[in-house]
Amino acid sequence: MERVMMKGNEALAEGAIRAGCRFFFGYPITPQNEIPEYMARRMPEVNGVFLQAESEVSAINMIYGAGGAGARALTSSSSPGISLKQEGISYIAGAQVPCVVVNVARGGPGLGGLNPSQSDYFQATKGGGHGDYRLIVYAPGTGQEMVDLIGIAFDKAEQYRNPVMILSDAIMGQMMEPVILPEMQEIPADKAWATTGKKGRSKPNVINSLGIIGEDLEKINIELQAKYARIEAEEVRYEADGVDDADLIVVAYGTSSRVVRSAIALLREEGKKVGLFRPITLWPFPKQVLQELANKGKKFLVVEMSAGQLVEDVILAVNDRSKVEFFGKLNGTIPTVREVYEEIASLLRKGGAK
Amino acid sequence: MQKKRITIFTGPFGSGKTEVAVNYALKLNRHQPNIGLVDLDIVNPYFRSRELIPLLGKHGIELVSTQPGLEMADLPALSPRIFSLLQNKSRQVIFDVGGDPVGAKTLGRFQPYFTDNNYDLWLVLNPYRPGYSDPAKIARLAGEIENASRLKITGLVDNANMGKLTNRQLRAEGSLIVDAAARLLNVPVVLTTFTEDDFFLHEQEEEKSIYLKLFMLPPWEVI
Repeated sequence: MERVMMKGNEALAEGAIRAGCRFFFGYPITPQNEIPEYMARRMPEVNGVFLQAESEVSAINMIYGAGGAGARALTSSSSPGISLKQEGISYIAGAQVPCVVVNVARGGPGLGGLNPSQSDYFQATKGGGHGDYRLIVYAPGTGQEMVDLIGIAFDKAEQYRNPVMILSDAIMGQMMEPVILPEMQEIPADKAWATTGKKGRSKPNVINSLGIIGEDLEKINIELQAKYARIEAEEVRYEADGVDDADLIVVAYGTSSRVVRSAIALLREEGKKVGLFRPITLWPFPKQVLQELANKGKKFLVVEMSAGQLVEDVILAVNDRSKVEFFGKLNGTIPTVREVYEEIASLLRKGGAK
Repeated sequence: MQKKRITIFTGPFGSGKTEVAVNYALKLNRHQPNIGLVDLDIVNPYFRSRELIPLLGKHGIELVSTQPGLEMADLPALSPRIFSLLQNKSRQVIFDVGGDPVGAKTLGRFQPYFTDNNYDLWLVLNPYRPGYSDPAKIARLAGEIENASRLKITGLVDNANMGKLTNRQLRAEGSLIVDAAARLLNVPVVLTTFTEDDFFLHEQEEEKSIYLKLFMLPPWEVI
């Protein structure tokens, strides 16, 4: 058991290496620079490849190539850089190539700022590029989850032959926590579908996202949708803390969930019945669990660092069975524990809850 | 030990330089007015001492940092106030330098102001950070920082900690690694940090230990 103090960004990078990632392609942008810096130092030690591409567009297409050849490949960027990668991500989804993309989100829109943000939720979960596709999206809430979820991300990417995104943010990337690192894995690139040479097979493996004949393209899309349905059935992850006896359930992920947890701890000390529901997969979204909680008469408050994106998924899940309140902080600021505490306390007063 | 006019805190990325530099400024400030603290980190704009300007100001400590309003601009711009502090020989100056040799390179800019006996360059170490559990590797980094800054390291600061999981045993085991690095580099361990009385290593003299009040907290720990 190896325990070290790591920044969130470093934990993601080392977690990827431990999970057998041997190819990193990226382009610098704050606040994710610790990932390429770490990879530049670390990849040569594990006979891996670190390459700073000439742009985000190049980096994502290098990932397309390495992933298509069966290797575990990673790229990371931050909001504007992730926007640049969208065309490549759509191609990778269409070609059913496994890979992991990290977004250490910053404030937007446009060039925005270096403060943490959660306003890339729509882009991550609703398909930031063109076409009917989905990414599996993990939202780590601790340093340890950075390490654990990026390992799971590589496994799931391969299992479903689908791109997976880790949605982090500037504060999650910069905060430092003790983490336990798993054993090093070496994963063979020689997959049955990968472009590793014909090796006596009658037909070569081809990786592309082209469906020039209408019916062919429809067939590809039917196959993709069937896969997404399997992922929705199998891969939902969430944390529900103190929701059973709660009058109000606060829904939040990443940095907001940490602030919410501190606020809830204060309220619980006062005997208030408040729970935390934290989606760990933002897609597939844990809508069924939320629906069941709504059926039990629970009320909801969504806290996020955006004008309201996650809240739409919660409203869809709850489907008018219960009330969904919203507390958002626009990009550039982070909700304080005191603000969230006051918001919850005021809702409890209004709702007549004890 | 005679205090030098200039104390420079350097070290690997994430070793705790800012917490140590701020607390050291507050400690010196108890006996000595007119302290200047220079935030020389142009590597990364997060968790910086520049966030503490109002608090330090209340204690009469002058923090020289990026121009107000540009704190999050991610620009490698240095304030001309730094020269003023260096030129005024009556000022006690503390430097909080960016991480790694990259951060230390900035010091080269001020080289003409450093003479053999007017500065201390202290390397802040947390052996629980990845890659720094090996004294030989610490010594290698020290050499790189010396080359980048064109200055000599004169002491090590033992900041061995595992965050909230720190206990007396981890504290003591970490210190052994820092001690070994100090022997390799042939410099003393000048300061040992502690955040709770329980981690205070009683074999350390009062003079060589420093209590760290943690300022660089994530938003969820600011209640």
